[in-house]
Amino acid sequence: MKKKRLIFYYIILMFFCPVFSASALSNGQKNVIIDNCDIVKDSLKNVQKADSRARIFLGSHYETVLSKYIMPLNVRLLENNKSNAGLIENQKEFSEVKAGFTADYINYQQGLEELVAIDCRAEPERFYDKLVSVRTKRGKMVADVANMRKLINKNINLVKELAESL
Amino acid sequence: MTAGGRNLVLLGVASILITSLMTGVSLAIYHNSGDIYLDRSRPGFLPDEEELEEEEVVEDTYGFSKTGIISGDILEEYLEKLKAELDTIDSYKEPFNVEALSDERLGIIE
Repeated sequence: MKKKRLIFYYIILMFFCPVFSASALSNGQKNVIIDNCDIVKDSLKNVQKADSRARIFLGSHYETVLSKYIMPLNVRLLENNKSNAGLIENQKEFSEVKAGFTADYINYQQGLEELVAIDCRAEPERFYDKLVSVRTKRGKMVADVANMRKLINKNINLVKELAESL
Repeated sequence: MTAGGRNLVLLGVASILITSLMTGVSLAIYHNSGDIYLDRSRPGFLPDEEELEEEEVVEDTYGFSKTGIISGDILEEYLEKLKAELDTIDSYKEPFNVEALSDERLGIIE
């Protein structure tokens, strides 16, 4: 009973006080971060710039798909009294995921900026913990890109079905 | 200093204070709204020369019309153009690749 209570207190402590939780950083890695602080930061800045390019490229194409394809098609179908519930739902989902893509990108870039601002020589553990959290945010961006692709494919399949039914 | 001169100095100081305040507020909004992260015109994020050339070459003016009849042929044209758009999106290799922030890529390995 006492042991269970101790485990419970330990879990609560770990949950509320992340400072006590062991960082995934080894002593060797810690020294590498301190020694190569500038190089690591330069790499992060390059990633930041490359991501900015990817965001502009993908964001503008997603906007084109929505405003020049999906939306006009639904308007035209409505005008012809051939509205398709699946395509309307697809447009709604596409708009939501597109907005999520932008919001997640801002969140990720804020994290990346905070990461670059950390003095990795003085605070290597904090720097690494932040890096781990930024990786998670980047993973969300990958999921958003996959979702957008899935929705475009869904639109293609729905239009194919519609074309066959006409 | 005459009263007129003093007023002129006060006006100048007040103008500078108001301008500084408004600039500060604008920058705070620009940063806090996240627009700063979407803006590629800020220093360090400007497009490279080759990138600008690529953008000039790619010029797609196609847009599906909101008006007109709906037929199988029209939908086929829609599909053809949308697939081409999807191919262009897919041409961007591994956007936000998770490996870019890995320990190995950043050189954080013992």
